[in-house]
Amino acid sequence: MGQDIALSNPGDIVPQNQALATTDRVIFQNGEVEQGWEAVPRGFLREERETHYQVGRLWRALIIAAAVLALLNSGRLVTMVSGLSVGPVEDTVIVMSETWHEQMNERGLAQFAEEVRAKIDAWRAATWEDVEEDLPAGEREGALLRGPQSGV
Amino acid sequence: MLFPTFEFGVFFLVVFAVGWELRRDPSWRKLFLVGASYFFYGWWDWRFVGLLVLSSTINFSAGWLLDRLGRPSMRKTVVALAVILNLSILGFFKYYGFFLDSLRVLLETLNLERDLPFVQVILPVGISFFTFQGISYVVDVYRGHVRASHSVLDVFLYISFFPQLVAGPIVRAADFLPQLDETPRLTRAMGAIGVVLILSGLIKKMVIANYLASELVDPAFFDPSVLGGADLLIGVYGYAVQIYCDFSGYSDIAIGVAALLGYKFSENFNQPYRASSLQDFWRRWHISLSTWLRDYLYIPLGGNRGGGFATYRNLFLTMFLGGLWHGAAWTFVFWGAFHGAALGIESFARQKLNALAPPAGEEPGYITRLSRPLNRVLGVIVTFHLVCFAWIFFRAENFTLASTYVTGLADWSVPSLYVTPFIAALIAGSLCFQFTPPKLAEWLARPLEYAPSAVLGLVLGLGIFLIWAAAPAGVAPFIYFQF
Repeated sequence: MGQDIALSNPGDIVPQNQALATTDRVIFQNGEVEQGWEAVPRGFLREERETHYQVGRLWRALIIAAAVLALLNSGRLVTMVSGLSVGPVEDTVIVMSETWHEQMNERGLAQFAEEVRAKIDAWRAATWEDVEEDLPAGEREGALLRGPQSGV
Repeated sequence: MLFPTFEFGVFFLVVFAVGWELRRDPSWRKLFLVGASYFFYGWWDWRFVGLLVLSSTINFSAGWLLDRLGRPSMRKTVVALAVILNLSILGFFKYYGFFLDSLRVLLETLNLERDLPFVQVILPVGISFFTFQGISYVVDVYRGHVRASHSVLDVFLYISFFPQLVAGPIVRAADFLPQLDETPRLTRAMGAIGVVLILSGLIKKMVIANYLASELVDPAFFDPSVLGGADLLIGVYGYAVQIYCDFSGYSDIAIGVAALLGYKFSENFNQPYRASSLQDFWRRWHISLSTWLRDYLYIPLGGNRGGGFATYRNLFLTMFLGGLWHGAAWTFVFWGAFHGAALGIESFARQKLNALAPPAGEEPGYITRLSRPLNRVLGVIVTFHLVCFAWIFFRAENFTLASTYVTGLADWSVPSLYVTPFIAALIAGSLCFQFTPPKLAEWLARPLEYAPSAVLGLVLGLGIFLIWAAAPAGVAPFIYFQF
């Protein structure tokens, strides 16, 4: 819920050390500045609101990104926590991450990482002969027109 | 802690949340960021946190004294003392072992063997970077380019700020300290470019640099005598791309992380392999270091004000010391000296060619107009190969290995073992990005500026997921951590 901010000058006023929210209302009062208030340029208010909004937006984005990684990259989480030292807290964390990974596996989410890795591994293992076989048909015809290689 | 790790991810989430929560209380915010930066540095080795405190104290004290001293001779003494202290710390940790080894070899050559003290000195991560940053603060205060900060917190944060602490960019006090005096801001553009730079840096480092290192460069430089010219040539191309992606990737992540915390850093790389001359290359490669060397070494030595020979001498000395900065090995010194000599020769050639050019105001002929793009293409090719030749010495462990590598380039009788379609595509694709429009990152960030948080989160999350899935196992350290 927003709060009322009194305007005591034609310019905009922000109370000292008071949190700004986009739902704050600015109320025009008579012409005196009350103690604890200061006049700031409109640009400052705009920048404050923009920063407040962007911080919230980015924070939500970071949380969503973390959630996406937890869902799709549970295998890496298990690998990482396996390196923790031995201890009751660490053991609990390891068991929880392994359980989480099993759950993601059952739902098929953990397979995406393996599929991407398999694709990359296939590209890494490809040879120049494999690339020639994958050439479009027209280019292969050009190769045939240059003459048979087998002498048949 | 390394950037592309889970630990850093958790660390950054905490710093982002708490840092912005404290934005209306600048002192607490800076104190928190200093604490976070020291925690980040201590994660590597807590024993060197004291060194960071010492370096920051020396530089703050020097700035404070310069602010109070009016007499020029006293001010000069303070600057000299601060620079000597900074370089002494750097010299001890970085060059003590190198000095002893070189002395031992010299004494053995002269049949004057002695038992020299054996001291194994651990190189603190980032010491070259934060030392140079401290020196730039003191010198800039002396020159009046920046006012001495009265806040210990500001100077400590300037020197230890974690995004650029361990591998740059070397940030100037004149660029960073004024940002600490202002209320921190986060705009749409900063948020979007931060995300794009972080993803770009992770792709460069975790995918391109790591694959090239493990599948081409490390085998090629391990024993070049068993490989043919094709593998060695592609190997050096691969190293050129690897070191660019490794270092510029780190810089991208550092600049992106700083942007998400509300701070603006200048770019550190500007498509260096599209340079058509070595002078142009050094305006595009490791910009923060090359400008540091220009402002605090080349210009104080006299720059190009003393005529031909003095200019070439100053160029050579600057690059020679720049090579030494990179590491305590004669191969780095040779790399720097090569660039210094080549820059001098290029400067001389440019002067002579300019003398042959048509007078100003005269309409260039058809041949002249046609030759300009051809000259540029030739310049790009020649510059790239000169830089690659020097990279051989930068990467090789010693001169023997480097000379084996160079001579092996002439032998094309051995069939290629490492030039696979995947490696060729990585190198060719990376080099193509050297010729895209310069502000590509800003262009890619624009659609994200107004995207909802869910879309931004999906882009970031899926991007990191794909990078992690595609990258080889393990996290290789950044090359420039050894400097």
